[in-house]
Amino acid sequence: MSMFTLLRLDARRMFRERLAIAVLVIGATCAAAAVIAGSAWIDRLVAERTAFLDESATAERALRDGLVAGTLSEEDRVLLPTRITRPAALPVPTLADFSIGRSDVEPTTATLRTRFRPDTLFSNYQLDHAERALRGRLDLAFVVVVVAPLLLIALGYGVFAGDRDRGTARLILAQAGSPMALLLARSINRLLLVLAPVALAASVLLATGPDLPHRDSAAALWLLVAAVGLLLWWGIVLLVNSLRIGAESAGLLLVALWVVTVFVFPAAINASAQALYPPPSRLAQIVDARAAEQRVTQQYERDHATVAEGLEALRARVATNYRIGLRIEGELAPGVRAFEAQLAGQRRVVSRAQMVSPPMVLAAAHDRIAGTDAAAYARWREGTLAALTAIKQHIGQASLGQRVVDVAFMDAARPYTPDAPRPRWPGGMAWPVLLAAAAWLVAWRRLRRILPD
Amino acid sequence: MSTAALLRKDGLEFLRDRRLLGASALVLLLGLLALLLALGQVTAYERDRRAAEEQDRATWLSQGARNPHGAAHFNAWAFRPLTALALLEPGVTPHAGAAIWMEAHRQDLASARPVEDRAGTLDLGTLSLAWVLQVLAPLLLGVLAAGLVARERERGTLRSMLAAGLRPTSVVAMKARTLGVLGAVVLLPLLLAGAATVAMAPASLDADGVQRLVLWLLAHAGYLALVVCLAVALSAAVATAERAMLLWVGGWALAMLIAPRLGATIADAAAPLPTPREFWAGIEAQLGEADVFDPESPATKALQSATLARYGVARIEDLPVNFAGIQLDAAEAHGNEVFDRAYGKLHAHEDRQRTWMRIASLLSPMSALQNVSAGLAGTDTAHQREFAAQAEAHRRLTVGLLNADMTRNAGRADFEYKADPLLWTTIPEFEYRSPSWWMKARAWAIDATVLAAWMLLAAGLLRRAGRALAKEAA
Repeated sequence: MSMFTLLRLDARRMFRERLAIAVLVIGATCAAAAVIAGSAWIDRLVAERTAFLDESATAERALRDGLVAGTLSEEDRVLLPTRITRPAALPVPTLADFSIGRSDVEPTTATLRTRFRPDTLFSNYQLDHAERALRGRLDLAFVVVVVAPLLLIALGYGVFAGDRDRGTARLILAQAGSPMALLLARSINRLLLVLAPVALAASVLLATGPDLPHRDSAAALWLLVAAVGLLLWWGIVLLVNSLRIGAESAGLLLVALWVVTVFVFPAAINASAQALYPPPSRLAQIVDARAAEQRVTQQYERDHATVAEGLEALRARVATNYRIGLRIEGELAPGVRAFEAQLAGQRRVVSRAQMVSPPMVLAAAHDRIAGTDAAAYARWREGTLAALTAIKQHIGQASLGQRVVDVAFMDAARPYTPDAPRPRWPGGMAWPVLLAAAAWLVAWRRLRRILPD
Repeated sequence: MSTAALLRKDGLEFLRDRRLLGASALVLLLGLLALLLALGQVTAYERDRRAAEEQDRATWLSQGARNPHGAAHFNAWAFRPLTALALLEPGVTPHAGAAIWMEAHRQDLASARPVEDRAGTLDLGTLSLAWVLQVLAPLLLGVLAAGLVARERERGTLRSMLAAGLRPTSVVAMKARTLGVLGAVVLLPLLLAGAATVAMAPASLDADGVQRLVLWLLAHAGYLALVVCLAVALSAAVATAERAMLLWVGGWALAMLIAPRLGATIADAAAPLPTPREFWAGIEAQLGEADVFDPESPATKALQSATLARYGVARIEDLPVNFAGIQLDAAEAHGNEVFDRAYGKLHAHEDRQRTWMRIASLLSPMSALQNVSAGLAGTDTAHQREFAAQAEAHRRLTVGLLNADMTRNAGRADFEYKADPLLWTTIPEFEYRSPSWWMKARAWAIDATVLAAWMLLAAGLLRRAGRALAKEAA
């Protein structure tokens, strides 16, 4: 029997059961919901970024025009160093509609100016309905990593074990011609049934989404990771089918594996990472900053009493505030660094421990390709803080009266708008690929031996 | 066959099945781990919060002589305390800000969301006892139940039971009781451990806390009973244990994973929240409509006229009070109206989203229970809003007191005036008063009704399964 005929016969048999239809309906519904959620989300990210950059440009133009036209009052000229701002904007993550990841938690824009500090730079961006956030988001990554494996398990828990239970294995094998042909036909049909809605959803997102750099290549990589994940799960399904157990036990074992790797391990690993690397208390950070603000200001003003009046007093105030800001920042720097160090520690624990949960590796790979993983946001925060330091150093010269603010001086303060990184194959993916290959190989060897039973 | 004999038989089968024993042990261990981690986190948070409050008060008191308006800008932070039941049910707290700056001129959003300080992957829920009971326990109970009736049918022992004189409805009821006992063996220790952990919580357990705990335990017991009824009804309705398990797992995934997210997706699409930029830009625009510091604005002129008339003088210079203080107070009053409108609209948006998400709870009793559970634990949106409302009331009170001092004592000095440091001691500290559970019960009353409807439905389905079994026997 040719492979095509075998595929056709198996498909007909598969669709005779309502299960395959149910799987298709669930898969398609989830994929459709993921498209709706993903599209709306990336459009919002693009719109927010554009509005922020437009607003920043308008403010900069107004300041610049005033400077060029010479319409600024003397007082405004003195205060100019405190009013120059530069935008810092993260590029919209390439596939934020595929994998929302941490893009709904992290800041994506910031305004750089001399009076801002690293501990207060990202503020007032957190406008989210906490109860909605608690329910989670239904993106395509969730469909691929969480829902699709369950659909594969439903389709495959009895794919060979059921034949053995019913005593029809020998007959079906005789029809198929060889164990390999039977295994391939059943695998291809079931994998396609689950993968097709995902691929279709990905195509719709690509076709309707914004025109971002590297989006096509990122989507190809993303789908490849999805395919590896599904192949891994199907390999496990085959492997369990190759054990000499009934369909019910096979189903129970597969569901247990799914629950443990998708639910239990991730929850336990994430919670353990937080317990091992607890970030310093945010509340302590807030009150430390306030105490430092007060202490440094009082001390500075005691040591440098201002005697000037009028514009000179204003100039002195600008310089004083700048110096005080730098001192406060210096006092708080260890706390800010400790925060990032603890978060990096959490990421390290998660990236090592997630080896016991291949779905975690796959979810991390999806987020990484999409540009919505925790590490990408850590890099963005780090870059933004470096840009803030550079801006403060530059504009600080004017605050201290060492430079006069003119157009050239203003232009030398650069915005921070890094380019989207080129997507790369995530390093950790070697593990699921290896596991998938091993599961398929062992399953194939075992099934070849036991199928005639 | 008596209930006790049936219970013994099913209990023995459970003990012999290592798969089920392993799964039960895993749920038990996970629940205990969740409690342990929660105790550590909540204790650390509460310790940090108290220390932060003390330090911030000390900072406030050591300001020295300072202009009251400068102090109003500096003001203080409100830190959200965690209730004892937050140990069991974190609710929305990981996604809700823990701190609010009560500064002059501005009603800030709560910041410092715990979720910002996480770097995990595949985060499908915060590990907590509530999560274990609401999400994992139904799966375990369903798997335990899958074979209870269906396997008897497969083996032919169901027919023997009925032939021995057992009524079909009794068989179903006895099986439900069996599952209830098996479930209790695994889950009751968790509920008791949860109650014991709450007793060890850093927040003291007052009468309201005890009532909340009892109701929380009852709600979860009711939910698990609901699950027992549904699972046994399913096992009685389908031909094989294998099919019962497959259908249960499918239904579980739909109810626990997909329906809540689907509800959230629909809520987002149907009632999108404004972006932070839109929200703040709207506020700034409205604040600018009545700028009492712009000498040419109609608002300033009106304020001047009203003030001069009130004090019966012709010039601002002749006022017996400081006009800047009056301006500040008027700006605050205008700001308060603007903030009330803006936050009112924001909350209305959130409520609309909540309505859409609630529709999803018609597909999943878990969503309804989550709302009830978080409401009872004091970790729901209503309690978060209460915290924000109390912080805002305190902000208005303190800013008002500071403006009043400026008005009374600044004379001609305006912003050069420096208040005596004793003034800072007269400003009260912020102290969050947790509302009693029934004051916030309105927020989850509908969810409790939905949950009760689910319970009735589950009981009805169990009865119906018994009657269907009777027809099958006939």
